[in-house]
Amino acid sequence: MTSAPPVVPVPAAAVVRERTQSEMVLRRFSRHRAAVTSLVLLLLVVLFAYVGPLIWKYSFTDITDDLSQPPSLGHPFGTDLIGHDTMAQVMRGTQQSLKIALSIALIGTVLGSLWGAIAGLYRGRWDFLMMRIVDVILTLPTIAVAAAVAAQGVGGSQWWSIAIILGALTWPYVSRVVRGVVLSLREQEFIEAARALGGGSTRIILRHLLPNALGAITVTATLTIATGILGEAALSFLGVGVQSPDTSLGLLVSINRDAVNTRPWLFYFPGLFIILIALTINFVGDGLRDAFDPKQTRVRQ
Amino acid sequence: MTAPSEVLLEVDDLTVGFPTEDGIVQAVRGVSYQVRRGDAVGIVGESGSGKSVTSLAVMGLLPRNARITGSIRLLGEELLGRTDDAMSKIRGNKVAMIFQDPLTSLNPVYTVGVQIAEAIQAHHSVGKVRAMQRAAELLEVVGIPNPQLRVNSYPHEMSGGMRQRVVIAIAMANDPDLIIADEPTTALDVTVQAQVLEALEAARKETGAALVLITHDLGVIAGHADRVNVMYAGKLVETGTVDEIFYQPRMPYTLGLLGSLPRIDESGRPRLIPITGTPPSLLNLPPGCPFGPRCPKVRDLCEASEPALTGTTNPRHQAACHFHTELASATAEEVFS
Amino acid sequence: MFAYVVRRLIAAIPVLVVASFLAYALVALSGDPLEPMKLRNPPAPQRTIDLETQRLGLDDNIFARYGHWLWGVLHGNFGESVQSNYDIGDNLARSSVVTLRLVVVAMLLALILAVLTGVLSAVRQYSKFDYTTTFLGFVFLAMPSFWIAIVLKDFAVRYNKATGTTVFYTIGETSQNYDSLSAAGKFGDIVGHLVLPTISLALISYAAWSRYQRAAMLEVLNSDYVRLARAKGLTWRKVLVKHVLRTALIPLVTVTALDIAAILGGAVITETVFNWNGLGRMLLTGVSRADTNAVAGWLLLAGLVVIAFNVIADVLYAVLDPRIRHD
Repeated sequence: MTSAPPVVPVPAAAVVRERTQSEMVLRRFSRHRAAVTSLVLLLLVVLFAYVGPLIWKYSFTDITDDLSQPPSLGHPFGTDLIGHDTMAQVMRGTQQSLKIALSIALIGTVLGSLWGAIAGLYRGRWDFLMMRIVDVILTLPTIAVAAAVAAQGVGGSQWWSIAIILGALTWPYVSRVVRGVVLSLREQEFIEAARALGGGSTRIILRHLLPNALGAITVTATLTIATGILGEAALSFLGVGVQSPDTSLGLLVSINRDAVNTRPWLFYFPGLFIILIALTINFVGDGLRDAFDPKQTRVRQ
Repeated sequence: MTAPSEVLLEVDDLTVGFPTEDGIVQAVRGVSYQVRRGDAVGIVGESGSGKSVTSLAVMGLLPRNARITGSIRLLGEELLGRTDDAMSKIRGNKVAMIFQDPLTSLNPVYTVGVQIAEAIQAHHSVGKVRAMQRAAELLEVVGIPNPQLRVNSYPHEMSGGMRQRVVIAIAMANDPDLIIADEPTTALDVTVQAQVLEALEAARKETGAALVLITHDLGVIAGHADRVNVMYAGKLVETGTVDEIFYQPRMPYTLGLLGSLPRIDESGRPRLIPITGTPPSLLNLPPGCPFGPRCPKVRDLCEASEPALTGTTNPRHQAACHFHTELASATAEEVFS
Repeated sequence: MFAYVVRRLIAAIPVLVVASFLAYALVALSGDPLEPMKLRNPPAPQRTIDLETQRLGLDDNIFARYGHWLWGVLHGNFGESVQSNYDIGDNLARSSVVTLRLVVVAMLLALILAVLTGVLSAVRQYSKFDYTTTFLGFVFLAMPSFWIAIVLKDFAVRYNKATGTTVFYTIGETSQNYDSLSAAGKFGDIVGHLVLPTISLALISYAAWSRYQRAAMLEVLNSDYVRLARAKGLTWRKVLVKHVLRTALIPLVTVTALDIAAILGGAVITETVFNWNGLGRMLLTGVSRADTNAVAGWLLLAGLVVIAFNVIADVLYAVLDPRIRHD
């Protein structure tokens, strides 16, 4: 701990050729090796989930004659007790989980961004009231509330009802982030300058606030997809998420939890897909955060 | 000219490079200068000219990945290549430094008294009570009212000017031989700048320390330095006494800096003259004079070779311009319009 | 300082009231606890249904029901349960002792590990240690908590089987023969049962917090005041402890408190995997039977815990950061 690295910020000595913001973002993102690798992996997972079922010989409802088979060429992920092909099930599960996670992120981001931006822009009494509402929701454990609502089969336990429930519990987190960004942007000199130059509030919102908040919103939205995947999995694990005969990655892990010892493939494959998706999305989010943050001066050693 | 006194700091052919994703940024490219005991040397230049990096190199506070060559000697002893622990015995003791932004220079969770006292205790074995007493005395020297009370204030309870005076008090705490002040007034209101410079003068008088004053403000230099080093693109481009630099500049860049300075001693000058363009990127610098692209007098020779720092009318007034002889008695208006 | 704490507590009351109403209404409106009774074949007699409706107060409007419930709670009565002979208050008290034990120990473990990792990886930024812990942190964050728990449990079961001894406890919060154990035996039994659930629950918070601590450390390491502290001639070790660590620990206080709700949710899942009879089982039982009073009582308790942690965090923050002492 005493190996003394004198860390001092490098003065902005290097003034490299100017680039447009999107060019810079793209360039910085493409430098983030983990993020690029993750993006490729993620795209492969999406292809697997949506194109896979068109090619693969089994459907997730098919019942084959192979019972409880370990992974083989015919069944790369093995089969379960009644002969379902696990790979077909994982494909379908990934599809449903992705669909739910994306919907959660969409609902959470749109509601949260609007809520946070309005609170941050109007400040004062409205801001106070809106943020207390956010506090209220954040006081309750998401999983507990979601379980309480979902358990009664509201919406017939369709995939979209789970998305709506979790989305409705996600937006407060997003709104806090967006409000913070909007508040700090308001104080920035370039916004003051735009106002001093006579820019109307609509113009200031569209031309200055939104583009500058876009980075933070994109990053948050991305990370929300990952929490969405995990949220769906948790609900399905507790038995109040996706219900059979439909399936999801969370449900697959849940029904096969007792098989972990005897037929581990049933438990590990869907689980690894959850981790793979959440991991790659988090890395992509991390890459985006680095790419959008213009202050960052990463000097490789 | 008085008899030359002892050389305190000797920087010799210093280069500093920072590896970045795009290549190595050469922030300092062969800088040499001397500071004698009790001297006040000004270093002027735009941001990115390498003036701060040069001083951080003296303090041994550059990031670990910085590539440093050349030599930095303090009272004849080489500083480059020392371990961090060895450097920490010199920092704050023989050489002290004042930074630009007083609002962020002090730790928000400790009182200013504690932050001054720890500077004293880092180099002297004195008790806490004695150190705090000394802290109050130092606050008095830099002109803070009610010093006995103010030692217990937190930084956020003080104005920017007061905080910078606290930083000056920290710098003088161990009676250093040299104080490096990096843009000490830039972040402050104009009205407060004079007070802070006064405090700096008081600190010098008390300690007898030499001063390296880094600034982009020639006005500050005029009142507080004896010699001036002008830096551009990581090099010294002109060096001389304050009078030589102000009244007989021999480098178009210096002329440009003077032309962009409002002056009341030259009545009738129509307007300020800006230098057009921006400083060059220090990444893969092209050959030739780095000021060439912005210089109104640029010629073929300037694009072919970079001029070295050479003596002009006297050997200690040096300029890095191929055509410095032509610039004798030139004015900014003549050169830049 | 005392006035500050009181102010924070008073400000928390409306949040808690609104949160409990929201929770109560959500549970009450999302399902009918008598549905199984009505759908039974042959259906239960109308009289039984009427009696149950009356006992549970189901025929009132939601505001009246909530008011009645809240009034009861304020007087120590958590209301009637759908399950017969089930005292909601007693069960809450018993379960929360079990669960808070898990939550507190897991939080402490996660905090200690997170600070150590965050500090080391920031001080040795871009070192092998930094890259490894960063990557592991990402992996832990991507794992569903029940998945980690099941994998840990499976390894423990395999290990126990291989060695023929019970090294790890994988089921329940205490052993069957707990009541017959000596005081020391009881303590050992509790600790033994805590090991695996604590690790499962701690890992995710650990991952998030160590990332956070690393970022906070880096920010302070690059700050002007650390540069000035070094310029004073303090040794690197002294700068690190007195200036960097002291200041970089402050934001973690808030983050920890903000995550308490998520940790409570995580405890529900962890307890399910390890068959604990704690707050997790109580919630899931209540939820599956649309037991409004039980679930609302549960959520009220959770809200109280969350708010308590936040108030403690605010006070701690005020102690650690002089800048907000006078606000």
